[in-house]
Amino acid sequence: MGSLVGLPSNPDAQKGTKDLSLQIAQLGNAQDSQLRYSAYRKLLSTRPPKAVPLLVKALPAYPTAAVSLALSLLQSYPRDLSEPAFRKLLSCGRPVIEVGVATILYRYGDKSLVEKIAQVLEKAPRDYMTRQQMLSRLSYVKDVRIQQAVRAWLRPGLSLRELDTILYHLLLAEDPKAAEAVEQLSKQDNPELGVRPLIEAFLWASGRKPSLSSLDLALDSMSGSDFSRLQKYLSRAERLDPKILKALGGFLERNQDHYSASSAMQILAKHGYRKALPTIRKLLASSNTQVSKAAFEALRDLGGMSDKSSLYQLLDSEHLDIALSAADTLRRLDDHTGMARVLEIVKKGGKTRSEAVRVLAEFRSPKVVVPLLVALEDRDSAVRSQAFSGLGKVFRCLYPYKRIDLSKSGYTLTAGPTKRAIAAANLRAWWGRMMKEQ
Amino acid sequence: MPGLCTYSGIMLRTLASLTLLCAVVGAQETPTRADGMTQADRGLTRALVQVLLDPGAAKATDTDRTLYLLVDPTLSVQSADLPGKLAQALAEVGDKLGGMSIGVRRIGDKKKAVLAPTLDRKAPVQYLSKALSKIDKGFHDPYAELRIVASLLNKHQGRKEILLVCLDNADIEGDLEGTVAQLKKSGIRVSVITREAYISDSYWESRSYERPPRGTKFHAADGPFVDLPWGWIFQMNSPNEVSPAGFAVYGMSRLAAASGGKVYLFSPSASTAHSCGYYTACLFCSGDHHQILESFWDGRVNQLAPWVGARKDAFREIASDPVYRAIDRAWRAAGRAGVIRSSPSIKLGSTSASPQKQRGRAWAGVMGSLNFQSNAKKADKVRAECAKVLQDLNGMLSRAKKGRGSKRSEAAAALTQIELQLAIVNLVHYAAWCREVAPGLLAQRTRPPAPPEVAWVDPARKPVGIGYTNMSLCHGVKPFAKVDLAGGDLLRKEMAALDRLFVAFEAKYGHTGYVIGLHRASIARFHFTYPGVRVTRKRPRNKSKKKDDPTTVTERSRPVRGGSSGGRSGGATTGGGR
Repeated sequence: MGSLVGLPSNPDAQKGTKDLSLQIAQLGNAQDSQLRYSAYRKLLSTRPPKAVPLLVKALPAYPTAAVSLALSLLQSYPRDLSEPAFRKLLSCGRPVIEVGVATILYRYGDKSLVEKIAQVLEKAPRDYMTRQQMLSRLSYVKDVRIQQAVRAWLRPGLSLRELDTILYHLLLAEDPKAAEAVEQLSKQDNPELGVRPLIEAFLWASGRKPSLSSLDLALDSMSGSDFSRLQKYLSRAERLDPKILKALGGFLERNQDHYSASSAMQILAKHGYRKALPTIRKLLASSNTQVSKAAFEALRDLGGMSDKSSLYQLLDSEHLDIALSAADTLRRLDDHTGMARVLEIVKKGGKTRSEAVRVLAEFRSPKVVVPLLVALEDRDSAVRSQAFSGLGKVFRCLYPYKRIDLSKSGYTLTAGPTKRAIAAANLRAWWGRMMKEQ
Repeated sequence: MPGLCTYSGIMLRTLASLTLLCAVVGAQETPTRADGMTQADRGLTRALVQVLLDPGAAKATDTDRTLYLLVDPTLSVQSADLPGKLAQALAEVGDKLGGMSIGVRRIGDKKKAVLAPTLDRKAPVQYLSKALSKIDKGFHDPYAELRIVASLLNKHQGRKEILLVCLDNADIEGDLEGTVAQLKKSGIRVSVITREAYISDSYWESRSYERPPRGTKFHAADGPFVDLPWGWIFQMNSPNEVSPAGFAVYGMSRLAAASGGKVYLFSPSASTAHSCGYYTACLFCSGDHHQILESFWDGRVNQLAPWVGARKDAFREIASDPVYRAIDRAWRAAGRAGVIRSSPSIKLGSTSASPQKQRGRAWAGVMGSLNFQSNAKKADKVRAECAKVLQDLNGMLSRAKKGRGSKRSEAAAALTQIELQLAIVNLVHYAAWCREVAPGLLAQRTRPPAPPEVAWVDPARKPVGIGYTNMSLCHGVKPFAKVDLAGGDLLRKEMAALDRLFVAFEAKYGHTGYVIGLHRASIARFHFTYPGVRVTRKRPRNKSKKKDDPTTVTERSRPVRGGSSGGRSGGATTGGGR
């Protein structure tokens, strides 16, 4: 007689509602991020309409970390369900949520919410975390009124972290008046180390030529991790003073193995600083893949690729991964000198074998087929996988009028050693026939 | 009256020398090639700063300088944030502008709707922001607008300048010479911020069914006419539509050159990433090829700069160019042989030339049926004709006196030689495919190949024709020696000849746009085509009756165009070195 008292008569429906409430509660769990994410995935996959009012009710009490997930979930609903929900949340009393939903509605086309966003920003509490969260929800809306409200947060005495967050937002929101405000700010004293170089970097990124000259001095003694704060500004600058480029060259020299070396090289290459070429050439052999890749790109952009001698030297390197990288780089330049060295490394085996097999397959030559067929029987599944996909590429290149499906030979990556051996033998026999036919 | 005579003589001599001086100065100030007056893309702000501070136009003490910004309100200009960049540029130049007034006009607005020149530095930025809040996707004639602004500027004294910002409609050519004459008469200097063009761009010529706005014509090439043959057999694209020129569209360059201004190239969001193929994946790499020859070298690019003098002068010049004459004859002969589907855009006379309407040509019908033997025979015949065309071209080029042809014509001739040799390679390959490969592929329907091979042809579907895809030459001709193509010794011989031409061309024209065209040329790969699978879809209808019945609206907007240095959409962009 459940229906008589207004409760769902169906026990399944009752259970469903209970499950839903549980998932909503888990989504807002303050401690367990895994639980939050798993609830989010469940709700996202089913998107039950009944969850919307429950979310609207629960969201204001959610911890900050859960707010993003909840808003993203609401956004995944059809607009006729999500928009009224967002409107209800507009006055929920939590600035982070209010800015978030107002920005979403603004993006939906409700431009009247600009004033609301600006007002919330103006009344925002001064703690860093809330402000940082609000800015991240704003997603760099380019509106004069909002830019003005964020700009008003600039004041003397801001910590380096706070200043960085605000300046980066203003830069990406392309606030035309920000540079002027920051120039004013730079006239104030701020004892914290790093503030003046940050301001200078921001002004360069905004297309201004700052009157300060602290950035080059700061770079002279800067560590790699400190540089990560500045690099996002410097990489956006269309012009940089030669002094700064020189200091950046020095920074690169001192921080060759740090990941920040990659962005330093990108900036130097963008501004055509060829004096850094010797250092960049050395970094081609960096054990950090990201750094060596950035060195390659920088060398190319600076026109330092005409001389391949450094790459030839690296082919003989004792570090096999460096030799492979050099061979691969040469191959990208249509120079197959490194193929013999790669074949040697593939034969040798060891830790780099999987990468060696990958590099080998890129040569697209009949010479690489037999070593790749041998690699199909390797004990290491990564090597087998590289050989399998590599053979596909090589055969597609060598035989444009044949359709080849390696799995038809009975080879699968997950098959046992015996089955793999039989399939590989079949493939070798087929390859032997192909060679005879030519 | 000896004194008077002497005085008159001096006066006459002075006048004569002044006239001569003016003529010399005039000759110096009006370049005929685009290399001296084109600035490479260094960002919008920098271009604006250069326009504002151009020493040829401005002095710090100028108090009577008027600049009109004429802006084409298209999506590219809007997304480039012109108002923001102008604000930055104005802030950067600061007081150096002196008393310069700046006015703004949005292309397409009513005649009187302008921001009159003002000393207020904020007003142009605000006006531009408002003007660009609405964009217009249609075709605009910038020349008519230039004449409107020129007449507005006539009311002003002192130095008069126009900065035309036209990213998407540079290929609409209105009354170019009329506009140039009006600008010269009024003493107005025009600078242009525009996109980079493709070398001898034939895009509109190959789409002659598209109609330009009234009183205009389409012209997208960097030079005054299309001087590079396009539409080769078995090629999915022409070098003309993929090779960035390093220069602007002819009309834009001509305006700037004739009025003493400059062209600033600007690509709003085009990618310069390299991609070997266009409409096709590369056989020889996984998209990580680094083609160093495609970064531009100014010295080489400038040697191949297009003509920016008047078109009639260009026609006189080209008529005495023996290298272009050879190209013209080869182009027409190749058209008759059916290896190219275009004809020259000009008709050469003995002392000049005249524009010629594009005659719709077609490739030889070598793929018309599934009768492979007949197709192969036809292909052999076309190949023989193509070889004759190439032989004649070689002969004419060797007879042409060295140094009498322009460098640009020499590059076009070298590329034409390669395209003809490539057509021969493709025809040999095609004939051999018809004889050796295609029958075997069809037989797989009843006799499937042994694993790991699988049948190429689906037994359930019947082929109805022959099609082709392209395998690009970005890695050169040599790697194809390892590829199992049909054609045997003859193909190897022709490929060797192609390789010789290819290597020589790369050595001479590497680091220019011409080499990009060469690299996107392709060896064809043939396949069967099938009838489309018919799917009947129910037409969606409104469930409820709305106020107005739906009407079909045909908007007059430009087609989305693909192709760039990297084989991606977004317009031409030089390889990065320039």
